[in-house]
Amino acid sequence: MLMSQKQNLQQDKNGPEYYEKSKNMKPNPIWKRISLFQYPLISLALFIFIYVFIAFSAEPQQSEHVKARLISEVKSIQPGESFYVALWLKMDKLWHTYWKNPGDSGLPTKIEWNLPDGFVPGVVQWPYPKRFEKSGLVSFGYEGEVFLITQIEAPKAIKSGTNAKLSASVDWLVCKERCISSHVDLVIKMPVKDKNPKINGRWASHFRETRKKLSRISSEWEANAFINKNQILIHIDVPSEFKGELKNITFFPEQGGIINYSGSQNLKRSQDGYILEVQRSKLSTRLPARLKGVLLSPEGWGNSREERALHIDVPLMNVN
Amino acid sequence: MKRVIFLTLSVLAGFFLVLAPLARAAEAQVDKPAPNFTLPDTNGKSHSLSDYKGKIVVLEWLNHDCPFVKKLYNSGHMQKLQKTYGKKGVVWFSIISSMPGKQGYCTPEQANELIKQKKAAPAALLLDPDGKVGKLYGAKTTPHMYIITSDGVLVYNGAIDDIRSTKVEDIAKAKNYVQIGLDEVMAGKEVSTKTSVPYGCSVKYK
Repeated sequence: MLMSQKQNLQQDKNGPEYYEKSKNMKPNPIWKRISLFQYPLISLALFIFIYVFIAFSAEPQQSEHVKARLISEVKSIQPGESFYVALWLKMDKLWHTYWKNPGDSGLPTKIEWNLPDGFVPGVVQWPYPKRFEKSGLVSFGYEGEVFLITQIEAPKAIKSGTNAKLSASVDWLVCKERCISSHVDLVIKMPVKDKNPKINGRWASHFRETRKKLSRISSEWEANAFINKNQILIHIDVPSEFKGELKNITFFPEQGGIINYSGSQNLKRSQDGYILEVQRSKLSTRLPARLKGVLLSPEGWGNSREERALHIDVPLMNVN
Repeated sequence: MKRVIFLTLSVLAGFFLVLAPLARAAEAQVDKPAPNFTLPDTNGKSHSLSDYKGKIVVLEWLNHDCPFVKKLYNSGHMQKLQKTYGKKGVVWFSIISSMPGKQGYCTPEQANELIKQKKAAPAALLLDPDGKVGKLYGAKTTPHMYIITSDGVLVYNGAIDDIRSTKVEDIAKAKNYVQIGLDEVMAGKEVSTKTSVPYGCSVKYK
């Protein structure tokens, strides 16, 4: 309040004029009501907020039809410990990016890390893809948004109190009907602290939900793969505790040139469980020794409906 | 009457069980005769594969807006292959199977303009907007490459090289299957890599 106004009120405090005067006085604008010493505190709080916001989830970069951002699961790096960083891609409606095996066409998203000395990046952990089909050509990829998680190992010899700059050179192909190839350079800076890091709460559910979509190797379900002239037969042995029924299983191969992606995949019952019959690619001449890929069950594999992707990596055996 | 019905049904069954699968086999398979086709070029002239018996023929599926094709044309690499092997008597056809309105589709005039602009040197650019020839050959991507010997046998079906990428730097690092295959055919040798997984943008069929 201005000194003059204060003085006036003090004079008439008990009189009727006080009430009249106070009624006519408009409340002071907020910047006048805050005492001066509170300004630096507020501005400090604001800048800390912005710093935190930027530090743990670098501003998204927009390339054509895709927003990209690096997001750390934790707020600091502990020397000698691993932590996870995700590449978050948000595609415009109807545009998609690709899985590690893009299918008949396309290009998988590629991340090249440029990390400080001693940091070791892992490989991209791919959530199971969606199947896109158009005019008889099939692709595997993602629409909407996708979180591509990478585990990074921090060296022991980094000093608490310093900052680490993690850079990623990212390339992707995004397609709707036409395709656009893009490259972005993303950076995230993280403080090094010699203690258990705090979780970046804002993105915790993204990490959790994405991890449910990663394909896992099962100890209960066994798969065997056989190949004949026209087909690949994936035998799925059911664990004894499984009381349900498998339906609509899809096989997504990691390697190209093995299966005909537009061919139907037929699930049949067998003595030990099921056989998924998949058509061979007409181009498949040189075959790998092992069949690697993801078996997707929309209803899950008996434990949780949400864990739908089973990883298989089995010898490919000739049946003639 | 029953016999007539039974006979008709048997004939139909026979047709579908025996002959229909053969129709699929008309798709381009290596070590088999390359399926014949007829397409107009950008100057209205008609070309049939059978017209070129006695010549080695290369088929290159094309879409100038596709990043994988841009890599090969912006670097001059595709044009260099067309010129080098054109001089050696190879008949190189670029084929566009994009449906009208979809990426890569060109009118003959636009296509001629692109040939000039890119300094391309195919023997002709063939227009397949119905996608019939693309489907006949099972062309999946742009680029998707085929080599046909002078006897009309398909000896290569697949990618242009072994590095799936849109980066120009990767061209020099890659093994170019078309170059290797053509050199082998011209030397009278067996083609060492007859198929590979084609990479590129999908052909924009109907």
